[in-house]
Amino acid sequence: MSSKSDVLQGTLDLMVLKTLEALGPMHGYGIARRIEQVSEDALQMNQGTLYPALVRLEQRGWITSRWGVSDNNRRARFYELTRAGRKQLASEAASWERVAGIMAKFLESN
Amino acid sequence: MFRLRALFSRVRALIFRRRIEDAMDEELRAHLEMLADDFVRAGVSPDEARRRARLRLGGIDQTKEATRDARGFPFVDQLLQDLRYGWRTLRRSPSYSVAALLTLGIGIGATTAIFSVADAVALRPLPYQRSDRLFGIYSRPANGGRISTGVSSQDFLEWRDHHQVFTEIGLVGGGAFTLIEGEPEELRGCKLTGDVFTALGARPVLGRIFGREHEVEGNHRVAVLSYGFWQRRFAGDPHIVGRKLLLDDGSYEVVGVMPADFKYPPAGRAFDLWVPFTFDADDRAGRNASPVWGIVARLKDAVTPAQATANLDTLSARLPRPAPVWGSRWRPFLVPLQDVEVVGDTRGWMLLLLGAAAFVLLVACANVAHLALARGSGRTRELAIRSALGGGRLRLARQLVTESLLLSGLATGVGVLLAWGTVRLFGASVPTSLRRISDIALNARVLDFAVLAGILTAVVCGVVPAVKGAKIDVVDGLKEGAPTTSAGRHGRRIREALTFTEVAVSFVLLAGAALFILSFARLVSVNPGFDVDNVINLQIEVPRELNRASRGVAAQNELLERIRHIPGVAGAGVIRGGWMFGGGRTMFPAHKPGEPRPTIAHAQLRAGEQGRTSDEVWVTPGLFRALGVPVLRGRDIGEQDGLGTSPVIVVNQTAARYYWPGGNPVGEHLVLEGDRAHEVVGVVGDIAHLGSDARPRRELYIPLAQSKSGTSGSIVVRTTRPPADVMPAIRQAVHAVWPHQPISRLATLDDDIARASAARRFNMLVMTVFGILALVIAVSGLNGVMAYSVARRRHEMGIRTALGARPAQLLGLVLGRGALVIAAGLAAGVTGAWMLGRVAQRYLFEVRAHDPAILLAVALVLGVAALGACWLPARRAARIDPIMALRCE
Repeated sequence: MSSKSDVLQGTLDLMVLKTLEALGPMHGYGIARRIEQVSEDALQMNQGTLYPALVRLEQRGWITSRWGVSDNNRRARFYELTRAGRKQLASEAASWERVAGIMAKFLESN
Repeated sequence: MFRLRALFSRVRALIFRRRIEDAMDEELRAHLEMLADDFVRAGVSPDEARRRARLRLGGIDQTKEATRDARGFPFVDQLLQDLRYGWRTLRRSPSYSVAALLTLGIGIGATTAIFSVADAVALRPLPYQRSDRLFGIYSRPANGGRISTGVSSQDFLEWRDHHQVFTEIGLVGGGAFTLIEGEPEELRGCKLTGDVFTALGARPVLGRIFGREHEVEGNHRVAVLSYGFWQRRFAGDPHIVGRKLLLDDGSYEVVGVMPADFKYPPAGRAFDLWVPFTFDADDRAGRNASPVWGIVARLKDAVTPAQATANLDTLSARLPRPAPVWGSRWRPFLVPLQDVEVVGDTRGWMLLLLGAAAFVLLVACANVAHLALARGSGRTRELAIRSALGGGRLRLARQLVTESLLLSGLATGVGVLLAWGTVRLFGASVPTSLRRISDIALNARVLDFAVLAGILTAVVCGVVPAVKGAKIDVVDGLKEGAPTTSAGRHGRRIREALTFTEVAVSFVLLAGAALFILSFARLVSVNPGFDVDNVINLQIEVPRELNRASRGVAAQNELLERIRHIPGVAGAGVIRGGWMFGGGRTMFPAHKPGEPRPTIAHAQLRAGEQGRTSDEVWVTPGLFRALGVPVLRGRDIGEQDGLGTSPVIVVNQTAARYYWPGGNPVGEHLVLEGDRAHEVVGVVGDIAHLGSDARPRRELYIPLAQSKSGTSGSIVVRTTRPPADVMPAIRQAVHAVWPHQPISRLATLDDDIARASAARRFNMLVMTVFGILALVIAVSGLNGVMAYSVARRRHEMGIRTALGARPAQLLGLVLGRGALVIAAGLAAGVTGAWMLGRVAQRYLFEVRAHDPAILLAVALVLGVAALGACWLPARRAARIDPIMALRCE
């Protein structure tokens, strides 16, 4: 397992959590579209990689899922952030900012 | 915390697989539809929209796979998948599967069956608490000879009172008992001191065991019963303690019952009861120095056997002793009880049989590996495709290993069934005396062994095809008409190695079978030196009180006379000593008067050797006639040879030749025990000691009447009618004279001899079966493989024939190399048999393990069989119609 995919996994997880915080309960397709939107289509992701991530997040207890009906009357599975997920999001977002801050300072100093 | 939840959810995923799969399907489908809708809204045609949607999603199956991996146990999923695939593969080629299954099943079954015997005989730990601290104590000559004997009561009593190294020490004697109340029944039991129970760590389930107060004559009529006897005879009567039992020796009170799982001695059939051993005035005064009793002791935790031996030695040294006959005194030594109760050289014998079984398994494995390889070559394309589809090398190898494990797992099941059946059918033919616990059962340990054998088999059979299979060259494999891997150089070498191994190992097994069969045949054809048919062996002791009153001899003669008068009896006599009749060997360094007594180099005497001693055997008049042993010179022992008259002996031919080569021994003298010179009055023919080492020994026959050590012995009765008809009359005669004396044994000599040779017979049967199995497996394997390989070479054969090759040439081509390999295998087999021969020699009788004639004969048989197996398919190949061969591929 290369470290590259680890990083990607971690960032994808974070993006999913953030999306769910912003949108509230949402199905897989909606999450994927939102991620693409927010990144202004700079991220052309393989949407399939979303699902393993969702499974992982659910296993860790940061999101839950239930079946519901989508806006065009389709049966779909909706994912929702849990309280633990909110805490995780907050702490990871803080970490990211810290790292970004350090890197920015570093790159500036030269 | 995460781990636990994750684990939990993964397990759930495993269980609710179907539901979860369906849910995922639905979810992904919904996702695709929504994607497609978006594209349609953007103006794309529905079909194009669906296509693009699939692309954006990134491949449904990959997504599913990735999700599945994240969700469940990917390892388990893959394993299940491999197993299912393996099962389908096996079903696709049933002839291979069945052949492989049977072959491996036979191999595993044979090994498991023998292991279960070994387990029952030698490996199971003794059924006592902490049995590793239990020891038996014996005596052996101080100068290091290999003879061993029991311990005297003198030593035991001294040790028991003053030792410092044991927690308990107890003495075991013999004894035979008859229950004469109600339905008379002969019981199995022995006399022992109560400490034996405590030493073994056994507590009675009812009542108590006896103590020292019962070791006095008069107080000794108490008994402890075994659980089985209590249930069987008294229906588990809860008031059994205190009940009186009427035995032939008097009325005994039951004081206790042992638990159901208690068994002493651990080997042989279960005992019914135990009574106290009594020490008389002579014993207590330390006057009884005959080393004849068994001792069981439990060593204290911190003490080593060497320390214990030293302690006992010191104690014994203080005791007064008669002048040692053997040139040195007896010294004690300890043997772990585990080894004591294993009769004779059982461990070595079991290893021999286990080794043979392992060889059978080896042949089976080589066979199956060979088949797998041959078959593997036909799967090149399949493996190439899987490789092309993304199966990594590791994955392919794992798949092949799983298949191999599946096959061997099934074969283990077959093997266990076969072993179980064999044990059921033939378990009874394992010599009883050896069985530690009466049942040979497929217990947990045996099953573990079977599984282990199965795994090993999988590894041996599967590893080679797996390695080769994983190295598939994809491009080559996918080509049409791809050359089979087995035709390649590398593959051929492996297959030849397998053939070589099979032939070599089969040879060793066949040679073993041949040797054991010959050995047994020689054994049963030994001339015993007397007429074995219609002879009854009656073992009974003269009642003690008669012996004490010096009426023993007269009483015995009275019994003999009664027996002689039974219609159907041709003659009767008593013999004591002589291996065949239940006595041990009394070896004595007899010498001619005037010569010094030979000192015996004990270190050089092995079991069975005589060195410079001869065996002392006591007989009564009429014994030789009853046995049918001819008197060659002089006269037989007669009525006139009694206590008061001059001491005489009769010698056998071997002894005569030893002491007076070429001369006439009659009238000569030999000095025996107590430095008395006995006159030789006659020479008789040799008696072979059948059943074991049937070589005649030097024997000196002393009149029983002139012996000072009692009158017990075996009564030998020759009958003119079938012995079974006469036995009841004999019983009556015994009861008429000595109504309370139990009969230890009443059987025909045939039975005794059969019992004695039981071990050898068993060996022979097992080795024969193994030899035949190996032959069948090897030959059928060679046949199968040759047929297969020839079938694959049809194309080539066709071309050669078309180009003008004659059938003989083709035959030579196909067979030539094979014959070479077979010959090499035979040579290796001969070498192996030669080296192992030394090990097996001990168990063979009058047969040289290195006999070249036997080895040559076996090589011939195996060589012809192997070549024959190859020849048939090869002949078919040589006759191939070239057009047919070239047409189909």
